[in-house]
Amino acid sequence: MAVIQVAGKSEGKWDSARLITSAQLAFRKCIGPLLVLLLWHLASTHQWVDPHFLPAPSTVLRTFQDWVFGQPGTTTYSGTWIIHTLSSTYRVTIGFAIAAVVGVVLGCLIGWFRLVSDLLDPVIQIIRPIPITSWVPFAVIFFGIRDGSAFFLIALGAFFPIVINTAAGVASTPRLLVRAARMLGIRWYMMLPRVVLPSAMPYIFTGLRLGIGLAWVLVIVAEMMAVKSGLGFVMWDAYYFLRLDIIIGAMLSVGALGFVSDLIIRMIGRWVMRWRQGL
Amino acid sequence: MTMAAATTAQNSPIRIRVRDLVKRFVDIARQEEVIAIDGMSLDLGREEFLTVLGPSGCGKTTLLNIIAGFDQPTGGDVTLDGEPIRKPGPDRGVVFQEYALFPWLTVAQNIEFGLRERGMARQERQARVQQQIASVGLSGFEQRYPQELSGGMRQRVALARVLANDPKTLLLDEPFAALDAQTRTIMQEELLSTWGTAPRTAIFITHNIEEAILLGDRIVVMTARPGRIKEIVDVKLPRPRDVTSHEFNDIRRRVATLLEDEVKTAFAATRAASG
Repeated sequence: MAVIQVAGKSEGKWDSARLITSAQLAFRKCIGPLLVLLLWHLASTHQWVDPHFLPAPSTVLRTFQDWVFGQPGTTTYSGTWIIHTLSSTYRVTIGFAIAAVVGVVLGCLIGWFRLVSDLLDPVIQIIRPIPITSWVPFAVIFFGIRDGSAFFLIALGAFFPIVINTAAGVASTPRLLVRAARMLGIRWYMMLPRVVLPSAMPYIFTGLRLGIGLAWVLVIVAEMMAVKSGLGFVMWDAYYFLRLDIIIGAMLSVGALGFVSDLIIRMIGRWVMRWRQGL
Repeated sequence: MTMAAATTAQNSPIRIRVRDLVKRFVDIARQEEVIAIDGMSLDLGREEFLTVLGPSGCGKTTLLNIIAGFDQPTGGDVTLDGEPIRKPGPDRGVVFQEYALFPWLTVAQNIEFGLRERGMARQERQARVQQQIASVGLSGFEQRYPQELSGGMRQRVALARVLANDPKTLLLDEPFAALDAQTRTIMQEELLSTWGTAPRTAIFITHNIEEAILLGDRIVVMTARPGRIKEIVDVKLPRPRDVTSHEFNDIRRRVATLLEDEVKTAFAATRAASG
């Protein structure tokens, strides 16, 4: 207990007490996932669940190895992981980029100009509660079974959290800072880039993080329904052949990609808002 | 305004002229009209340091906001060199109690803010910034962000940021109210020495009697809401002023008496409103 108390005061960043507790902490945080893994393993090996429906972790690992590193053509899936992963990543990147640009620009206009807000906000509020998945038929009809459908669905889904958070951030620019900028002689067209946008950055990045999460959800939906490649397509395809080991591999892949892309946005955010460090 | 009139205004010893100023606004929460300033007239000289003293809610800040150009008068005229004030500008530097520094800009970038907007060349800009940083004693802190600084240092940056624009008028809204006593004394001395080397019109809002007497050529004592001028007190003491001297204390006593009634009135009004 004493050790933990010392660490709580944290006098030096790397004193020995803190190292011990962080090791303990890391160990404690591993317990949960390991238990889940063990349960999964037991459920499969003891046939609590039909192993066809729930393949053992070892099976999933072997399948995944072959999917990633196998000689293409050996089986249906061997060595095709990278292609599907890249397709999905590509779609998320393009769709998310469109959402980010349109969302931030429109969000700024909505948050800053009362007229734009009065014109656009009702439209957004009406469309926003409609589940993005219900747009799939329209996406397919207008953009076909191609990347376009996926771009559309991803961009649409990621757009809403980005535009709403940006608008909220812009609207909450402290009046004091606007006044300070005006008395310092700011040119009217510099108010947005020099004061409003930096002030709204924390909100914008919240929107971007919510947006990238939705982008990965929607790339899977789009690929299951409206495109013929990518991790979502693989999941749907494997489902027809009851290859749940492949599905679990694809699920974990998407999870990892989502985590990494969120991490990247968080790191960019931390760099952009380096002035907030230690806040 | 004709050219002749404008020239006259430029040569006149008066920088800011306030005539029958009235400011009313609607208190949305209470659904009633509030008279913040009810008929105020005042002339400010080119090198005059004016302090404004009054109970809270007496319209001190409203007066400053109108001269700064943040607010528009409901009635009367406020002119600067003969021209009506319509909007804020770099000729009137404002120092706020809450510092109002841009938290995402470093000390140097904050001070550079106005110079960049003026389109000043990079080298000239940097020289000016360095000079301002040195004059407020912040050398070595150029690359720090505001939140890494103490209150006194932040207010120094705010002052340097305004002085970099070399404004003809300085408007200070209780700038040292949030600082501890020692820092406040140091800041007062620094402000006076800055002002002494380049005198300009200064309006300094405060609710601290000693501060008002220490800094001002004249002290405007305001009434409780609605704000009017109760009395203007001349302070004819040479600077630097000794706060323990007889003359200083005479003025202090007089100002305190003037203010006391108003503070009581304001307090009674607040209690009546909340009760």
